[in-house]
Amino acid sequence: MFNPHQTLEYKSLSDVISEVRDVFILDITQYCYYLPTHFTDILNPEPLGVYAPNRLKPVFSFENGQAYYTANAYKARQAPDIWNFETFIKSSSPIYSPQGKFLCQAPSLAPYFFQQKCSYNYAAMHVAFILIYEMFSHLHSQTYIGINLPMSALRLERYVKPEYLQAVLDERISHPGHATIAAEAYNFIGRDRYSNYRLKFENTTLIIEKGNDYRVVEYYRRLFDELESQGY
Amino acid sequence: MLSNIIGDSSMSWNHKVIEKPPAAIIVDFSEIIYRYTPQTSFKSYLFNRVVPLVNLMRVFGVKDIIESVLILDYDNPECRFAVWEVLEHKYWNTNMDFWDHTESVETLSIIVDLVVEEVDTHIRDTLTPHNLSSEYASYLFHQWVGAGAALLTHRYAETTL
Repeated sequence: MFNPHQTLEYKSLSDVISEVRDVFILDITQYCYYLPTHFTDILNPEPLGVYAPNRLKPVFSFENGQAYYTANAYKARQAPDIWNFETFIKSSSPIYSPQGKFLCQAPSLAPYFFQQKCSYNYAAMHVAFILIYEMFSHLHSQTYIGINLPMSALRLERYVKPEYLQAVLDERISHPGHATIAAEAYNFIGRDRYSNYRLKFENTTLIIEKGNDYRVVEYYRRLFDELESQGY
Repeated sequence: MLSNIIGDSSMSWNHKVIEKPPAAIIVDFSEIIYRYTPQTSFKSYLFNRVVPLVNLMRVFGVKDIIESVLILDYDNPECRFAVWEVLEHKYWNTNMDFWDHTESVETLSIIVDLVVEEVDTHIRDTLTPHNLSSEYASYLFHQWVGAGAALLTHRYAETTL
């Protein structure tokens, strides 16, 4: 019996969506070292928290009043007793989240695993990522640009002081590495301006995956729709 | 107040030309909800091999998508991200398998685009008999009326419903 699915290059829509045609890997750190003070002065400090060496994101965040429990406080149903770096690093007891999830075993036994400041310029790294995302999202209105961060992480106001926000938006102040990153990204894009892209920001590494052309995805979607409506 | 509300074109209303856009309209979206809900959809190709998306849509269904796309008007540059903002706000920490599953996220993006297209068409179809089709982008979500119809209010409406 004739089955049109057997003649198609892709067996399902998710095959079309998930196909990766090219990958570009870029370490953003190299563009965020030795930044001029006129740029670093406009940036917000990193979020309050506990950082691990060579990690961009805090392993424990104290933003927005987030606090944690030592085992004793949690069992006794007391108020959270880990609310800043000092209380964390002095703790010789296991640490639990407000939901009761075990997070860490006695930080005071291995204090060199934790630090108060981020190893990198947290805000500059994120501003660089936002600039790259903006660049990709303006390639074409119909293409899909996926990211592995929440949309709230793309808000410049989280990383730039309010009085300088407009200057950054107007590009009167720009990220020192922006031109180089943009040149490398455009070199990767080449003629594929209609392709879908996925930007993955893993620690300090940016992984850009080039997917199928959005017209190819739409073509196959309509084809699968048509086949399904015909009962195949 | 009833004169300020017009209904779905499928309902038996007398189609008269209205000069001033009504403060509210009722649009029946049940067809769209039925078509894109994984459990009732006949478009099964959309939901093949995207289990995290099917699981997510049990709690964030087509009704939530419609509500989210009609939160902001088209003039607001943030409107294209409204669905994702709502979704992240509610489920960023609780549905991690969805966010890590590329096919699911991109399929949801396709579903959102299709739903937006059909919602636009439905609103336009409701307004066309009244010569108000140019106002289709001006109506924002107010509340659900029954199973699949929604009451939408004009963004400049001064009437308090």
